[in-house]
Amino acid sequence: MTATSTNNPSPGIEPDGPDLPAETRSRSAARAGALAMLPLLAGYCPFALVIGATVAAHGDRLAGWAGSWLIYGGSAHLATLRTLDDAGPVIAILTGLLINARLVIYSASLARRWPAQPRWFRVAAAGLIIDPTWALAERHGEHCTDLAAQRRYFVAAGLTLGAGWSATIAIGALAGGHVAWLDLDIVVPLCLLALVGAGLRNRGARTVIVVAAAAAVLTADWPAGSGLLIAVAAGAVTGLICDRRDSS
Amino acid sequence: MTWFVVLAVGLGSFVFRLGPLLVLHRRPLNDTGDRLVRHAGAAAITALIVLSTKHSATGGQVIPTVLAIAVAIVLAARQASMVRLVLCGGSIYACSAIALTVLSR
Repeated sequence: MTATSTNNPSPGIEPDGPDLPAETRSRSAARAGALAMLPLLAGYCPFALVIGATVAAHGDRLAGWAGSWLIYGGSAHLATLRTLDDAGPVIAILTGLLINARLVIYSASLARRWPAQPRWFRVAAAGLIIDPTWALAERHGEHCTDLAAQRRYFVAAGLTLGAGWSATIAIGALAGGHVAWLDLDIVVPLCLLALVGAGLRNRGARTVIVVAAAAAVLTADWPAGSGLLIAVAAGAVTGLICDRRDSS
Repeated sequence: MTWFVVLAVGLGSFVFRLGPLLVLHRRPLNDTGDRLVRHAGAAAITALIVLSTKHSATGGQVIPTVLAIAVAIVLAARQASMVRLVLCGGSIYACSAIALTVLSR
């Protein structure tokens, strides 16, 4: 995510106006969080339908649907269910965990934004950390320094995503094979592209994206999502090298 | 069995989410670690894009997938919204898939 100017905050992100009473500021932060998540949620709905259709095809619909809150990550959820059918439970668990290993990065990133947040919030918010909530929290944190507003913004965004996500997966699971003809798999990369799109305009971030993409292509056939970790490492190291080159 | 797998992945994922928030609260990252984490986030999403694109293309729709992703990359670079990306990319995918089906007859 690239930094945006303080004078030109991103849509749906309200700066912490010092003139507003604290309660009003927090309420507006919650509203801003929910509103900022809505367009992302609309984009993710077809992705959730894909998962719902997979849940329906899998058999145990309730357990498959429960992953919408328990796993709370579309790629890991989808890969876990597909691998469970194809390769058994051990490989399915390994695959899901490897794909969600990137959450360590998001969490570490948010830890540096939330050093002064209370422990209860960090424990509660941990369950809502995923690509879009991380992206929104990072952008919001660049403009808002009010801790209560940050909390309300993040929780509202996370719950909005979770409620819509879970409901859409349920619809997909109930519709079952009726949505299979739509061939919705393409929406998964389209949704994710929107999250890194801003980085394509920045030279350093663009290099990270290109290197990570190349590494992911080369390791795409590696077992259980291990190639994903190689791609993450390659992109992160490349980013550091670019930063050092730019600063020297 | 599905419950066990979903619970195991969910629990592991929660540990991934919570661990850094608790550990790095006491010992913040230095500047290098901070930048490493930032780049790794973008790299993780990029890798997921590649893997999901490959999955979409393996259904036999290689050309529609490539066209849709190419257009979506241009739109993403122009900071188009996710809804617009999905609508434009999805439309191009659908149109090219239909065109290829018609041409192959």
